[in-house]
Amino acid sequence: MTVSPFASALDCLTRVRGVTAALVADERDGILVDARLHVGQRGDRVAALAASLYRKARLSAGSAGLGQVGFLQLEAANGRVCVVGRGDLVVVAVASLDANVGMIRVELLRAAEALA
Amino acid sequence: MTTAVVERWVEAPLETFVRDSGVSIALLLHPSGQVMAQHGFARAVDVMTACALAAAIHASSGELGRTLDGRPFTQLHHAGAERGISLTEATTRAGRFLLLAVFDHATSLGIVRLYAEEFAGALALAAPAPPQHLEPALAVNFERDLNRNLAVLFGRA
Amino acid sequence: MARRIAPGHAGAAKGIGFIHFGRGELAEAERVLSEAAEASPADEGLRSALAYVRSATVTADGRSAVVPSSDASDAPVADRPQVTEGGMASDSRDLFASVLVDSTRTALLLDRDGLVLAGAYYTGDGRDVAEEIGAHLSGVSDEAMRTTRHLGVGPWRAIVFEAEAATVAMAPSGDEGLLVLAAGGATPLGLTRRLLDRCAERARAWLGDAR
Repeated sequence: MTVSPFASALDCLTRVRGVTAALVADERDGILVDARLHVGQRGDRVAALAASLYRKARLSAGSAGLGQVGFLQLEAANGRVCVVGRGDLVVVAVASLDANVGMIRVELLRAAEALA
Repeated sequence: MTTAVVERWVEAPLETFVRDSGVSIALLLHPSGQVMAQHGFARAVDVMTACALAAAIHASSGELGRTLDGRPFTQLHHAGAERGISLTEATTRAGRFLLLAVFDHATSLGIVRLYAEEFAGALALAAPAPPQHLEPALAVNFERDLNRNLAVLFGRA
Repeated sequence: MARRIAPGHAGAAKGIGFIHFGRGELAEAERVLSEAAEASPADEGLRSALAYVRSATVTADGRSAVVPSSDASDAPVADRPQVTEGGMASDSRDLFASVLVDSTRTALLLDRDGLVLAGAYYTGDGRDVAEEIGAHLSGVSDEAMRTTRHLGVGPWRAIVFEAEAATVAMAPSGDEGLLVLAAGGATPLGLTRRLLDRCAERARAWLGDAR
């Protein structure tokens, strides 16, 4: 069985306390590339929405003259979504509110380096 | 651009789909090629052409799926340089329909597929119960029904 | 060539400085403009251009980007915001100044149409580009709303993202409005998030007083 090139990075992400899903998606198409999910989680939806959000932030920041975007976090009442992009791909972590965001950020940036 | 429908129950689900997904063109049709609703087309001849092609693509890809996988393919995506198309099925008690969507960089395939799935659910909820006695679908009526539907869509009925 | 013929020519210096700036060669741009400003100390245009270049940074793709500023000292006197003795802004542009403190941080309060209600976003040459910045960034909140709705994680509370020129934080405010905060690169992510909350409190108080 072929191991995905993203397997190691995703495994590291899911080991961070509070992370409930980790995935890699195509930023332009919003299509799932690889994922670590729990049963019942819709990785395709997370991929599409997170990629679209990141892309919007990246294009908006560029238009506003703020340069390229690195780490992005969306915080909601019952959870958070963290994204880092590199090239055509984004790495996404879905986590609970009490998750260690600093650690998630470190692992996402590390995973993004591995995408390059 | 406005949405035009042959039957009223299709309107709300299709308008929601177009608004949420960000597609530039949407077409709802029977697998036979009869148009049910459209958004973004300016000419009836374009709708006829798109319906015929979409129905043919769906039929041949279905056969390809049966040959390769034992069951028909139900979703199709073509990626172009500037725009892409998505062709998906929606099954309701009023019958099976095809949704053709054309989109560009303003949205993404993932988002279009997400909302196409929601559209299929909304369409199934909105569909009326089928009539007790159905007329047989005759080839002689096809062109009559097609022309009537196009007239409704383009305000000539 | 123009500078060899007329080394202190202000117009030539500004033009060449602009070329360097466009290429992301900030050090060269600053050197050319500094030399020209020394030769022509009374030239206001040179002073403004130099301030603009000094407030810029270079992004990874080689372009120049302007770090946000709440410092309006280069703006015309008539446009500079005034502050009352009690610390609240008599001009809505200065609403968040006492919360943000540092001039490399700035905040905007936008209404549901993406138009600026309060706050300012000054470039290095003193131009308030708040309307443009607000227009560009306000679309991100629509995506946030859609994402949280479909993922079932409850209503969105904040977005924070790190860009090359600034860390940007956004939060919903009031009646479908939006609060946008931009902090220069030296502001840590956690502090940016806390400042967002404090700006949100200030916005709520101000909106309440305005009704």
